[in-house]
Amino acid sequence: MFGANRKSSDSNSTLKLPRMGSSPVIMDLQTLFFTARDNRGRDVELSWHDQLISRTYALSCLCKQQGTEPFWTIYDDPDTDPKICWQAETTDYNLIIEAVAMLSRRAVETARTSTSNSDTPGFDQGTYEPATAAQQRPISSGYIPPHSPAAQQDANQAPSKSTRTNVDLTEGDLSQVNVPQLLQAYQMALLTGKLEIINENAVGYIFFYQGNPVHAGTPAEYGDTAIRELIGWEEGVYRFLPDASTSMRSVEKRLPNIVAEGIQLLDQKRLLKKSGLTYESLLLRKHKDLSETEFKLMLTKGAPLDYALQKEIYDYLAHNRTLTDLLRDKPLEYTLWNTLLYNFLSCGLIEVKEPDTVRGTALEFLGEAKDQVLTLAASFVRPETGIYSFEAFLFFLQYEYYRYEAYGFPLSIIVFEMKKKRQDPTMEVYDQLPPKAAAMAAMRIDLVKRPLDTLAHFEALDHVILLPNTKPSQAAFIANRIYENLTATPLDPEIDSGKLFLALGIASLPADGEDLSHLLHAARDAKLRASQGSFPIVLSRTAKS
Amino acid sequence: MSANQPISIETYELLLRAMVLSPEELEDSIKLAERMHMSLGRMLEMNGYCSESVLPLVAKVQSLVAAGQITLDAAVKAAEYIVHQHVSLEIALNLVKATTEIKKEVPLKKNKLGDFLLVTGIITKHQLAIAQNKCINTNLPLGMLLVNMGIISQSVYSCAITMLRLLQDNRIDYDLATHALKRASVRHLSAEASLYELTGHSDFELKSSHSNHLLLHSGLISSNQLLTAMEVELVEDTPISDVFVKFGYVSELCLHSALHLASMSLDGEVSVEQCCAIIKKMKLAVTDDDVNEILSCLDSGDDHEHKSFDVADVLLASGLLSKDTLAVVKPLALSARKSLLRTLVEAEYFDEETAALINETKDLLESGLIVMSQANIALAYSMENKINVVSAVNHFGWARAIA
Repeated sequence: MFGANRKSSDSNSTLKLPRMGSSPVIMDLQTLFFTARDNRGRDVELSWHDQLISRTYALSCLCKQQGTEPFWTIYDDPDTDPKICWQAETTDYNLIIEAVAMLSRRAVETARTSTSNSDTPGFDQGTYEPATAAQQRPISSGYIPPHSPAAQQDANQAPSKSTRTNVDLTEGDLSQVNVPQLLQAYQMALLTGKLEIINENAVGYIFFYQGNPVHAGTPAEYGDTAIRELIGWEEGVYRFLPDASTSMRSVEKRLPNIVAEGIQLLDQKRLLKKSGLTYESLLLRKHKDLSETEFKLMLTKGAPLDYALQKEIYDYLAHNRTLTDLLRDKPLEYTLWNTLLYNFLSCGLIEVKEPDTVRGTALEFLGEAKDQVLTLAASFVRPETGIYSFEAFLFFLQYEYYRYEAYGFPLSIIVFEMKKKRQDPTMEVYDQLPPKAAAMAAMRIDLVKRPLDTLAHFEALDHVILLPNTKPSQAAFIANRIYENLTATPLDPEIDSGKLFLALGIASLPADGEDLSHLLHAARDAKLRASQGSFPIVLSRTAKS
Repeated sequence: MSANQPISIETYELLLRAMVLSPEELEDSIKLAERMHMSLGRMLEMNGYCSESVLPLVAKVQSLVAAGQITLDAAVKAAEYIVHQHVSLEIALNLVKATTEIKKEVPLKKNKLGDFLLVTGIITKHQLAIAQNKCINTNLPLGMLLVNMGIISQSVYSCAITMLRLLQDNRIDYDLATHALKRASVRHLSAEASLYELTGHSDFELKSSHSNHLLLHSGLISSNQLLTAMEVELVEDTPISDVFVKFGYVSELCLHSALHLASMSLDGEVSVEQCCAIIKKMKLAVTDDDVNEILSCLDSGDDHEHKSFDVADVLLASGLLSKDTLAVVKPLALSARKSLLRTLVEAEYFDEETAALINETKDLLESGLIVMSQANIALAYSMENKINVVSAVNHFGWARAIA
């Protein structure tokens, strides 16, 4: 099989992709395969000129009938005297990458031997330099997508004439060369040392021993995962420290496999980035009522991943959640959440929305007319505090009560008082909080309460938070968070937690009766008990006593 | 605009900066508005300073400043446009191109915890910037704010503080700290467990001072307050005892007593329980005489109080049983020679799980680790969320010796 000449008839129907200045990586193979798939029965060829060994190769892909595996062939010197070096019917990109790497290594070895023997058949003696010199000399250019304008421009030029920017192996910028290319170059050159990649936020490193990575790390990951993460770094600078070594061994898989996985992750990352995903983005389910079978069916198009995990996360996304919410509540490795969201997005299960499109005011469509509504809303507010008045609270409470009656949604209220203890050791006297401290308290409460919760004045001097669709224990949890927030640090230099008097009473429907009168009474009573008891939060439990 | 945003002081400050009115004019207007029982906005309009309807818009501009989305200078200009030229908020912001000025002019203040979380990838620069701006407005420490904003969980916060403490004590290096934190976050591990997985060693427990332990155990400070104080100690390089006093968690007198008792306890002169009972009383001490009186009880040995609680007390206080039902069930239980809870379970008033939770609550009450109000809340929380009472107490951050 090896060494057989190429059939001249094939070349007539061969579709040639633009020539590259370096060995292909997984992404190139994917492009090649997809082009071949779209041109079934026709050879699609990708050639490259390996400057390190001054040789040109071509990889061709042929997709025959549907259901059969693609047929790959590597040719040596495809322009003048094409010879088949390798052939296989496979879908394993790694196998092909290894075959490409093997060819280069074999060429280097042959060149070494031939240099010592002063006899190099098939090699351009004048341009060859041994691999050890690779550190000092510039090598092949960065990856240019085959269909990009830059690649098209190259295709129009003479293939052997390198017009690309040369990249140094010792140091450089990731805008010139991508990480997979760097890794392959180090492997091919059998280098030993430490590669450091520095981007805006972090530093990553990979230790190589004779071209193989042995240990890698980023601030967040070790080993294989760190290399996969580094492959995703598209900005930053790198430098290679020759002969640096370590006794640590954290890399387990072979480099081509890690690179393949890393590139897959990078592709996924790009798709997520293209969708506009940020940590604040909302992850919204596209289908409200999807059966488990339908869910499974839709996921079949995605990358392989644990089904149970995908189902769990999909269920979690039933409510509006941001990526930050997801990572806080269900912490996942970067590689895992990246693939998971990629699956959801590419399988049409979720859509990514900017927070403002959902969380911004629903009345944005009104334009300037919205201001009239805002003016009305402002009339609900006590101007001296900027907080809803007691009457406004009752107005909102009434509607929550109707919802409770109609749909059975529970509702809770937290009535609380905040006062300043007067510095009088002989008796307990309390003053109202100064306006600045009250404003800071309101800001801290605002951090804890949900957007749908309403903070308002309660009667003359107290405050209340209306919590729609909230059970008593959840309300107690919020009350506790409010208490912690108000007492964590002083509200004012004069009002530390020792001088702040707080009493929070919680009542709920249906736990505390059946109507608003009972609810308000229960909350008042709970607050009173909180002000007199040893603990400042009291949950009213009046229903059965 | 959300009308219940706390806006007043800063909003009026913005109006002052925008030269809409002078401080004296504002003060006069406030007084007049109070006297006439009118809203301040109406009063400003009557005096011809600005229309009442623009106040919510100015408040919105102020909230953008608070959120770090626009600079103060841009906000002042926007307020001028709104008040003097009666333009909408969007137009005003467009005119000053406020949205493009985000962040660049506000350099981030260095914060050990923030940098640490940023490096591990747990938070982003954008999140850090917003949180730091909110820190300035709310005077809360960064870690607590990140938890409040839902960016990190309480356990990650606690883990990060532990790692930073270990780093400060030179017990681990930075690389190990970042990896261990990331690992702990992803695998839901404690700081110690994560470090154990990475190093195989288990000696990473924080050497918290004995006095801190006593303050926590006696309930004078909560575990969350201790965490906050530890963060401030780390970030501001302030001794933790100073933080306790500065934040008003304990009085200076109480702290000195705790330190004194801690050394006595280490010498074996008093038990931890005795120390805690005394420290609890110290909370109310104001003068040296009060302290002496409390310390004089040291020998009497009656400080260690263990109240006994009846299950009926727990059931009544938590609203799980009414007095009428109790009056019926109690004689039944006595005649059948069974416990009250067993009788209620057999009558299918509760299931076995609820009965177990009630017993657990009773035990915690008797051990003095929680009081009745906390017990009610913890019981309700554990019943609604199907977790045990100790976990509920931990969720609320009331864990003293339980954790």
